[in-house]
Amino acid sequence: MLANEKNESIEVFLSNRLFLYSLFHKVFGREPDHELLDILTGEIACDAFGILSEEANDDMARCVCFLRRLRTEFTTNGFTDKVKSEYTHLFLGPGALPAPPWESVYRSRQGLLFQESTLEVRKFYRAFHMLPEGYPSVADDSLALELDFMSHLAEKSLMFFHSEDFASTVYYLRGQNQFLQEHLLLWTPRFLEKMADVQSGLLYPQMSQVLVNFLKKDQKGLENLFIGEGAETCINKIQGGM
Amino acid sequence: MAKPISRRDFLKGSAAGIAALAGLSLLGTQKVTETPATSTAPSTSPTSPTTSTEPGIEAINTEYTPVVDPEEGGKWVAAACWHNCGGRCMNKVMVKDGVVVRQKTDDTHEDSFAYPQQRGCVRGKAQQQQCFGADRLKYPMKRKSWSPEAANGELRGIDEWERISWDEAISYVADQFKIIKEKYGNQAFLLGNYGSRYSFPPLLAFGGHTSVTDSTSYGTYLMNLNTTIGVGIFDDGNGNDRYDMLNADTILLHAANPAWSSPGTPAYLFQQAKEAGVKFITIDPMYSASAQALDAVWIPVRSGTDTALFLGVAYEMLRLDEEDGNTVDWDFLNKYTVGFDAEHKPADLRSDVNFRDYLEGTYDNTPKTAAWASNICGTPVEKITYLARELGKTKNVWMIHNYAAARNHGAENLPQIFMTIACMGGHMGKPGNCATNGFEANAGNSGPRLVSSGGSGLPFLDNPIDGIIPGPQVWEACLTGKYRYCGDYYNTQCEAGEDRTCDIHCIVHDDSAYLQTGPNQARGIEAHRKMDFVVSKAQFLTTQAKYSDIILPITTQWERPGNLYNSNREFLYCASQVIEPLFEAKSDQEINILIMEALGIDPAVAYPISEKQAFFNQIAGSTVINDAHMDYEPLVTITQEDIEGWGVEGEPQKGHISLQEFVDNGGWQVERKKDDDFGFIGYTAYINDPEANPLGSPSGKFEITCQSKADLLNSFGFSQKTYEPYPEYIVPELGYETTFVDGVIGGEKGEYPYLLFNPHYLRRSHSVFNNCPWLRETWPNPVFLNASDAKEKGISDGDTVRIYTKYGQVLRKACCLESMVPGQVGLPHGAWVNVDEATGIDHGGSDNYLLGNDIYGMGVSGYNNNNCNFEKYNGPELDDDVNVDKRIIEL
Repeated sequence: MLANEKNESIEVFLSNRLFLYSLFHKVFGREPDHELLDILTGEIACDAFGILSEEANDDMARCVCFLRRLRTEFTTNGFTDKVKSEYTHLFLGPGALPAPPWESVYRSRQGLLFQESTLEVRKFYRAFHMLPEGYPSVADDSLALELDFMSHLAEKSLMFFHSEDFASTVYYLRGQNQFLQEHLLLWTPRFLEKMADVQSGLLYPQMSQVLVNFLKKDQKGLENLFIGEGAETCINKIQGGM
Repeated sequence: MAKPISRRDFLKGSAAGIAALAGLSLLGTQKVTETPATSTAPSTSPTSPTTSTEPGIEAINTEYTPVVDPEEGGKWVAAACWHNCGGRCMNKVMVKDGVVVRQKTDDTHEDSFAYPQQRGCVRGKAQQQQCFGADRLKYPMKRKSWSPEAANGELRGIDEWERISWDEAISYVADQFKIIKEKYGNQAFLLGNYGSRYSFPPLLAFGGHTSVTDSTSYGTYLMNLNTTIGVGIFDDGNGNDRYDMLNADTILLHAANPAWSSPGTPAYLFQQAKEAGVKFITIDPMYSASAQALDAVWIPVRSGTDTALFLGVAYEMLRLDEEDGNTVDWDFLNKYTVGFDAEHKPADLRSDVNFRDYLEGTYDNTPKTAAWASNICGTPVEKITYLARELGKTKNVWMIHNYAAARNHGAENLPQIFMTIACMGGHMGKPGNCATNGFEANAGNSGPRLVSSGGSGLPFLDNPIDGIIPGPQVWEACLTGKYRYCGDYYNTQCEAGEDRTCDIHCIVHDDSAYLQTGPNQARGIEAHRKMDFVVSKAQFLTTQAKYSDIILPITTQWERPGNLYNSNREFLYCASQVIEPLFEAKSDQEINILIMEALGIDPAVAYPISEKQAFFNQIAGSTVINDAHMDYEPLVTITQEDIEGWGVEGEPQKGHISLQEFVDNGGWQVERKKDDDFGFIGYTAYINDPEANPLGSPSGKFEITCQSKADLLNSFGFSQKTYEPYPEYIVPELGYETTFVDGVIGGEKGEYPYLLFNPHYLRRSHSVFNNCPWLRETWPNPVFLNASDAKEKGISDGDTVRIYTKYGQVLRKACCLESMVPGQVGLPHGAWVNVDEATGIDHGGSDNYLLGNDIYGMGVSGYNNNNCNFEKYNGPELDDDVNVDKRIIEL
């Protein structure tokens, strides 16, 4: 395989995950409307999940089926409104949320916001010169914010990859790998457990399942770049093709 | 890859998708953004990439160490504990970058009786959970099916919700206010708080609103007592300084449980008295936590029958006095009271009656003997005799009540008989003796304040609408348009009753939880469903928020500039801002200003100054007793630099403590010494010279037979009976007697044969804190049943029990007690209602879901002597509260 072809394969990986983190960020961070559902169920999204499928009927393949099915439904009358109700119920309130989408809820025994784990997340953001726009009034460790953080870092790594600054590419990729391991993957499976109890979910329980599958897969993908090796080797790998 | 697609095509698609997503707008609260490296990277973080935007690989290995030292960079802040327990204890939190990482209480000085630390209780320690609960209301919300065109009110409480912007929320509120005012006039607004006449500036400035008056915690002690029988307003302020506790032989706690209700300094003081050898007696349906802690002699009593008990005590005191000549303080009665007997007739008395003749049975051939009393109140005769001895004149006695016995149907004469007993024993106006309330921060510690907050400088706004509905009638009035006015007894005083009408179309819930904490809750829910518009400020999906159309998220005190709290007389608490407002919550002042602006009213009529200026004004105006102990002088030293630093207006002044120290310390406490000049004995002036210092009663004396009391009671018109001037036993229209079919004690038991009362419970302060995880775990909120009663029905500890009245039904788990009077059911006060719409059964344990609109006597909300029944529940077992998620809207 030619080096540039191998680079292209990495580019696909990096580009795809940027798209997906951006997509998940919008899915969990924004009240749904026709526009978002259109992108979520469109060909680009289906391709993006499809490319991650390794065998027939695996998680990602099923996700594509789910999205295609959703596409036939979401244009019907009132569907978007129902999904919006589901979003409000699950993520906005006004009551207690069945699966609160904040890391600290799962990392403090009492299920509270603004805990020490929130500070850890904030420290991570700050290390990359980032903060929530709503700081300090919003909890930094909401699902949407953590996904946005990942999408920012994914964007950086792709950008540096394009400009052939591989050291920086690796720096950002390693940051994402660590953030996945120390944060997102630490709590989203438990978030998913609670989400699984939600009856009659139209979109979000399913997408939470897809998200957790994706996060695990992405982390493995990142790990494959670095497996058992120092950063130097990793760069060589990237430069030399994988 | 499952699908053949060229990498080029894929990348093109991916890029297009990313661009499309970037085009989707997203609210700021869900976005992270890049920050300038120098301004936000904490200096304490050694590992963050610093100046270079694209750091080298070297930095990576030591990057983002996950453990954040909780205390590094943290700062202790005195944080508010502001709830309606009235405790005002010290709470301090270590805050680090907006996160509370540690909490403690008062450690500003060593603890001693002279200079006690103002320690908080378990609820105060859970305050952080109340501020940082994941279930906090974060955004303005609108009920989905409500619109200005169609209220669809029947869906209140079961509807879906949608998030709206503050602009939309304020517009909806202001537009509804304008429309409703134009269509129905200002009387159509009901401010749904328990004493709401002057509390909501936007409507006060907009022409006023109809109000509620409820007897709340005070019960029949809101009955103009100062101008009738002669004790202080609310029977407040006429006890003794805490040092005098040690002069008492006995402290009587009547229906008072400070271990649960005032567990800070007041409970500590009583504990100290116990350790110093003072004997405690409690009168209570339960052998309470306080009784246990203080090793008290328990006088068990059926709830709502306390007047009968005290009549029995009075009779026994006379009997004992005849035996020993040394029980009744005749000198006291002679000099300081009127109406005890025929020889001391008050000048204004229109009938020839007196207390002693009533007591001895002259009018009804029924002497109010211990046996007579025992039949009603259930207290064994020998315990009544014991109490009579203990309250005799040879003993030094503090008689402390906490109003709970006055929160009963038929308790109108309780304040007068309590006072009468105190007079018979001579327990007022001398060391070691007092008779007063023991309530909130001042429990066990009366006397003029030694240190006080200044005023905020915010103006008082009048309410031009004089429609004021008694609490038990308010929800019915929303449904029927009828009520009986009897003054604003919560805020000012009772007045003669008068039938009135109203036409309520809009309920506003501002700063209280009255749909949860007031009676007749089930009908209250119906009333809410009838309205054109209901709006609530809320910190969570509280009960009143649940049944609203628009909910406005409110900040906690931790998110506001600060406030001073007058605690007990020695302590002025200064709480400062802990964190920035969370999510989209705003303060009352901010919200009210927005509403006023939208109504076209100049907000300056209510808010001429900022919240910070109001805080500063309180501090600048704070005073402390001077060194000569004669007068008061400014407490806090304020410099020109302070004023400029705070960005407020003010004048420099000299005081006892610098502004910064005052704020850092969390206020100021006057250090006491034994035999200092700050001692206080209630009624001293009156006792020393009754002619020169008369009481507020018509005779200027304690009126044991009181014409003005009878006249007032007879003017209300809630009960079809004639009230007498003396403290007779009132057979309540709802109470112990009505647990029998024909209302005769000892007869056949009726459909609702148990007496239901609502003990205040340490999980909550009224309804506040009910959702805090620590407290839910520690305080399971069962129903208290007498063990024998439970056994008869085959109920054991932990069984799910259905408690029901003619108004509603509630599920709770049983806690079977030997230490509670048989026939009583104790359902803790304040649990958030959670109605199963299919069955109508409340699973939350709401006390007021079982209460109706019964109103008698002075219009008292009778919380403690309702009739109920209970049974082992056949349906699914109730889960423990700790395992039940806080209030979730079912989709």
